[in-house]
Amino acid sequence: MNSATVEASHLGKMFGTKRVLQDLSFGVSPGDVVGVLGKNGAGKTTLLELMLGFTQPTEGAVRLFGHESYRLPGDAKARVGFVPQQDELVDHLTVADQLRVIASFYPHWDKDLMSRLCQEWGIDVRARIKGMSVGERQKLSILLAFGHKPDLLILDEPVASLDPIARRQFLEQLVEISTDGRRAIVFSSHIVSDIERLANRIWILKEGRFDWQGDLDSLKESIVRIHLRGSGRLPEVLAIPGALSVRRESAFPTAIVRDWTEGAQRELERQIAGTVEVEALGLEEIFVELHR
Amino acid sequence: MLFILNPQSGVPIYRQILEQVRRMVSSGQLQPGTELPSVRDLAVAHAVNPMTISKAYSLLEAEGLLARNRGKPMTVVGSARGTARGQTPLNKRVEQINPLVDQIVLAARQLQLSEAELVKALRRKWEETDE
Amino acid sequence: MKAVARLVLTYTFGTRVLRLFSVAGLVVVVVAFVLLQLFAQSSWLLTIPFLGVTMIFLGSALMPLMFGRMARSHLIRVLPWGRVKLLLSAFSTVAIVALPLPLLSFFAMERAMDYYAIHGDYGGVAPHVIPSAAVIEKARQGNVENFHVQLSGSFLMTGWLYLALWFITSERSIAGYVKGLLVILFVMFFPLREVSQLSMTLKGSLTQIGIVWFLFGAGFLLWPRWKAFTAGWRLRPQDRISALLQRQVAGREIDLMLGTANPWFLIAAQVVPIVFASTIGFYSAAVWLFYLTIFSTIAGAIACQAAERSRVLWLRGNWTRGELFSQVERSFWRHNSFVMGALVALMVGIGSYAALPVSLLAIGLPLLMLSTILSTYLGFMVTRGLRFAEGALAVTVMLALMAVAVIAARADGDTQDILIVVGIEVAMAISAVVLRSAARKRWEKIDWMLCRPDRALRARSAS
Repeated sequence: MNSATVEASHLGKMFGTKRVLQDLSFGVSPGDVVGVLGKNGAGKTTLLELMLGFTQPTEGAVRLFGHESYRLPGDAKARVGFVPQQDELVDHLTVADQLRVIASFYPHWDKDLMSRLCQEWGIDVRARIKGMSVGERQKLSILLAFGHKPDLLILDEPVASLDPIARRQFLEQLVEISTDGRRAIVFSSHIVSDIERLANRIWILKEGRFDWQGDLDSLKESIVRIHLRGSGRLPEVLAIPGALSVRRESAFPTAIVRDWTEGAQRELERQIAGTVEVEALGLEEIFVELHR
Repeated sequence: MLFILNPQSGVPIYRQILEQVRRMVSSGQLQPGTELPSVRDLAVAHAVNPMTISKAYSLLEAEGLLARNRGKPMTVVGSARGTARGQTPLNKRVEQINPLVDQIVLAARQLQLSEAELVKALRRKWEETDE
Repeated sequence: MKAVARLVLTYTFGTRVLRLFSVAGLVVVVVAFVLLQLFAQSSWLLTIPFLGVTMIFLGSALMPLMFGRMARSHLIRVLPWGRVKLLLSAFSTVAIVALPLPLLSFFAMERAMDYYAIHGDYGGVAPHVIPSAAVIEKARQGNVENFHVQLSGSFLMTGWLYLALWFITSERSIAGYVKGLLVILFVMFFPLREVSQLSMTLKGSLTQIGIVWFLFGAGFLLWPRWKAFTAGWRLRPQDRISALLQRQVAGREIDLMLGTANPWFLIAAQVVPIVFASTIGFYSAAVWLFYLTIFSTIAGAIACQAAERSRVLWLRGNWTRGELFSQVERSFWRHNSFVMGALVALMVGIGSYAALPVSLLAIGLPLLMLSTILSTYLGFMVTRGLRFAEGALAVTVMLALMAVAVIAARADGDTQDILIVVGIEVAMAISAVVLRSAARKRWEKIDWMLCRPDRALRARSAS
């Protein structure tokens, strides 16, 4: 594939006078699994909608398979799968009919995969969608995006209503999909543990900008919490390079730091005449700390 | 399961695999010639991103702990000091200890030790572990 | 194109009930075709295909619903050529449903002329006598042209009817019913009049089709761009509406929750078509009463939703279920008295302007009020979703009301007819009281989990 799956440069979006996204540049390559994190209202859904071409950017551009996403041609659309936040199923149909209707739009549809997943995920194909619970509807919604084996899969809070078992099944399926390394997945979720398992790249959106945009592994290695254990009274002013926040309430202050180095550690240990312990943080902790 | 992985830990998954493989190889839990699970199987079993597994495997291969055979899964090679020497180039192996070298030199300077004293400490340890 | 085919198939066969209608309708149409070949034509024979096509139409009632749902989804924008295929599927469905009647009419005429050519007379259908073979030939040519005219007219009308159906089925609210009704009225005024007065021309209807479908198609396909364009404006209208609502809120939370807070909308929606009709001079008494009766059943349609909407009130007040019923009843009476008052005033006004007989007004006004009350209590009875029993009762009542309205309209001066109508009105009053106590009893045992059919289904599947 000579063109990247998704490419954006200086993407920005305003609704009237309200600015939602600002100066976003990113790329998604085949094999990437991108987790999009952000507070409610940070612009996650808008970003995904811009990528899909539902709306036009006010600044910059975003391209899908080399085409401008707002004018995505039909055959490129056949390579994209989307799971929206609110399911868009037709209540009056049975599951089988809904599957057939969506399948008819695509040149290739994996019926065996669909029936296997329906069985594994406990969806009765003869049931009418009207009578299904929210979780079952969401599972069906997700299923509909897998059938045509898209090269790019975009999911907006896909597991919000699923119980842990259903979520695990969904994750396992996404892992299966990503094993061949040719597909790209972008998904936004509040369930940080899922992103931690599945994503190799993380985008953290804060007030319309990327607070972090890079590998998950690098993020975990970059942002750590340091614990200061000084032998005597600590100096009033502490110079901690790369500190995002410092907490001095207790006798053992902590700080969240970015790109902590050994040199900085030695220096700080000298300053406080004590030891500095470095604690690696999980993604949820990192997210919370970045938003303090 | 072969590994105990905690995706929520502050330690990245690939690093957890690295450390566990190193430990198991040096303790003898993983004998030379043992075949490790494929990237795909491991990813599905633990429900984690396969790229993180393959990253770990590649790094372990660079360290000389694992060997990639075409068409077969990754196999344990043996202790890093043994047969690996012939398989991994010198500069790659030197690369592996560079971060530790940085640390030691920095610490020595801060403690205001001389180069001779540093080399002496290194030599002492080297001779101790020579067997 | 398999997507278009699959969509059309789903529209017609998507649910059990619809499948039944579609298949039955098709069978009836085929049977009608066969019968037309075999038997001499009579008026009852010609109603059979009409019945069949109506059944096919009802059998594809899923089309406007699915179309609306999919058109507003995000998914359709990701499906390859999704919107275009969806539009084509709607167009195809309309074409399929519009085809049988003109086709059958064409064949019927051909058969009739063949029959004449052999036997020298018709099976009782044609109004004139065609004397010679040359004239028959000319008539045949005219038949083909006639077919085109009828086909285009049928296509146009079918499209409008689907629109009405969409309003009624997709927005199950006052606004929805009223919009659907307005479309039906529009159809009655324009295309249907043209058809009945035989003033429809091929060019005229093709032009209408062209314009309507062009606007619809363009509007549909360009809708996302329009939304994006007006995205900045949309923030402001919201404020205006909420400001409007704020003024209504004082002490009328119950009305807001039940949807009875704003009778003016309904009044306006009823007054406008009546005034419009009267400007064209449409004064037939029967039609008046017919319309007004339909309007009163809208009150019932609104009342249908009372049970379900009252669930929120239950949580907010300290009423028992019985007391809740009284509150709801009171709210509806407030709302309905506004609407009825407006209708009565309107009827009196138009009655005096058009010099309609006093007896008509004397029995028409009580009829109007009683039918509104009756439908409202009927609506209250729907506490377990609109199941077969309630649906059948509702349809019966509505048909009875329409029949009574027609009788009442004919009864100027004829004492026997007037007595019949008065008798019926008395019966209506009694049934209203009966229905009220039935509704109240049901409310005292209302189970909100079973209020709507889909909730009941979910409750049964217990997830």
